[in-house]
Amino acid sequence: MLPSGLPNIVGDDEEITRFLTQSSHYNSAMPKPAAFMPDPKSRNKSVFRCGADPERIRELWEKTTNFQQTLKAAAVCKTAEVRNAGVDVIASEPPDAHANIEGWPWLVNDPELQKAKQKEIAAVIAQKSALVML
Amino acid sequence: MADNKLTLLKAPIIEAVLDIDCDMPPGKEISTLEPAAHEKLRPQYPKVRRIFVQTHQIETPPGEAPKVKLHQAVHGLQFLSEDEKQLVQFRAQGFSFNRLAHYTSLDDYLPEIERTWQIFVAVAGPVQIRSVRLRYINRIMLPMPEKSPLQLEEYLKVCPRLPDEGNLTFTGFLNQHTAIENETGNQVHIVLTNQPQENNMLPLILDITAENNALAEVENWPCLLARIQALRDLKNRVFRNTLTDKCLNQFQQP
Amino acid sequence: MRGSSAVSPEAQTVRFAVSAVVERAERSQALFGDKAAAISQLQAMAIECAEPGWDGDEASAINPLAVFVAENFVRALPNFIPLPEFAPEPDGSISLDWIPSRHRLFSISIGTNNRLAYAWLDGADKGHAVARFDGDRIPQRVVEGITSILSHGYASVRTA
Repeated sequence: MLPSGLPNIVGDDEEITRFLTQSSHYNSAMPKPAAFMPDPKSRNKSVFRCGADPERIRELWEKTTNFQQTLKAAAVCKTAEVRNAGVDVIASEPPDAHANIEGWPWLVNDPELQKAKQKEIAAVIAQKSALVML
Repeated sequence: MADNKLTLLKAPIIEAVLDIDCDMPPGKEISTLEPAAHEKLRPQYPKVRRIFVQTHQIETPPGEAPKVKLHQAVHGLQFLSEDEKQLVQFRAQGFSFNRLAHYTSLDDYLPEIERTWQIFVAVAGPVQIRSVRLRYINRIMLPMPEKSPLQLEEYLKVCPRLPDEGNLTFTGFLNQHTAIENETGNQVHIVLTNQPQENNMLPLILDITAENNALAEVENWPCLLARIQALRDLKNRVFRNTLTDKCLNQFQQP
Repeated sequence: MRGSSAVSPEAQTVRFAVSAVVERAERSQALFGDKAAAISQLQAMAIECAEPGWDGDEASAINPLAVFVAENFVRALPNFIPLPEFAPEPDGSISLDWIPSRHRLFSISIGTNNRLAYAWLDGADKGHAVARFDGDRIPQRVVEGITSILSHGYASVRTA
């Protein structure tokens, strides 16, 4: 059990949430693939295990943010869908309820092909994600 | 004159450029090639310049002084001869060889082109050739008659025309044509424009680029050479057929 | 990429003359209006993400060379292709997205070189590839990929 009280292993049924601070990371239909592209430094993508409840989302955001960005929306996806896309969700606390999408393909010799593979995965996750406006 | 032989005593060439665009190896930044490239090129090309792409961001927050930020990235490297009349360029897109006036003949420069191209291949490791372009920029001085308008058709077989020529006079023009050579598939881009009058002369810029877009191996110099020569032939033909004999004869006077 | 490798003053003359024509065309709402608006959006996004950490995390600033290439890409888009949506990516690249529905999308990443990474979803089909953009012409398989995703009929997108 983690300090937050959540299980160590992120279950397939759990909903994970990506905070969206850029209006260009979503449109009226859905989150965009760019919202899920991994950070090249950390090689993962930060998410929270808080589901789609707007109050819970805002609460976690206020606990973890430095307030330099404004939370505009959230992308919510089932962990099983993320795993079906070919990557994994690994708990990573602190902060509370934090996890990372890990296991992205990295091809040092061909960064563009690497990017293309990552983009396909990110597109699949975006497609399976619900958009929560805040 | 045969197509591939165009010998002018005083050719109006201001600049000749050979571009060889390539697929570059993934993940290689052009700026990292400078030390290795300059080590090999320094004897003939002691000067180096970096080509940047820059963006200037000006923020004007209300009630505050404007803030200016500059962002830039290296887009290529230029290696120049001491007199800066000859350049070798290592670009993010490939290789270039530039020769400025005084220009003699492509045959005179081909050995150096081959030598510097091989250096580019060794240092930058291009994967394949995408296109080859041969560009010649000519500056042709046309004498302005004292008492009547200049008749461009005396000097140009393919020249700009005005509607209502009795009542309109040119103050400037820009003609641009793109064509494909049916037999070879080579393309040619022709730009004709003028510069402001200088004393009693009108400078005309005739800019001809011959281009081949077939894929090729970087190691096959004979194939690349044949391609360059075919482009030269096309360029010469376009040049000869753009200008009248009266114009061409100017370049035969020492 | 779109720049010239010629260095003489006369090359500059040609460049200015041709640029003046392009500029006049781009001032025309009829000829260029939508693209001008798209390029403005792109530039506004680049300014918004001009500092590292724009995402509240470790994102790199949008690379000015990526903006330059993306502008050229927009200019080169055939008129029959709708303009994309733009999004910043954490490595400093710019994503150009065509998203006609949740089940069909085409997304291109534009970075600092001429190799464009792209991916698509088409119902149950999906894929990814890399294509080269010379600064003037959109690669044919990218044009085909976008038009395939945007078409109303069922079509699979294949790599070349």
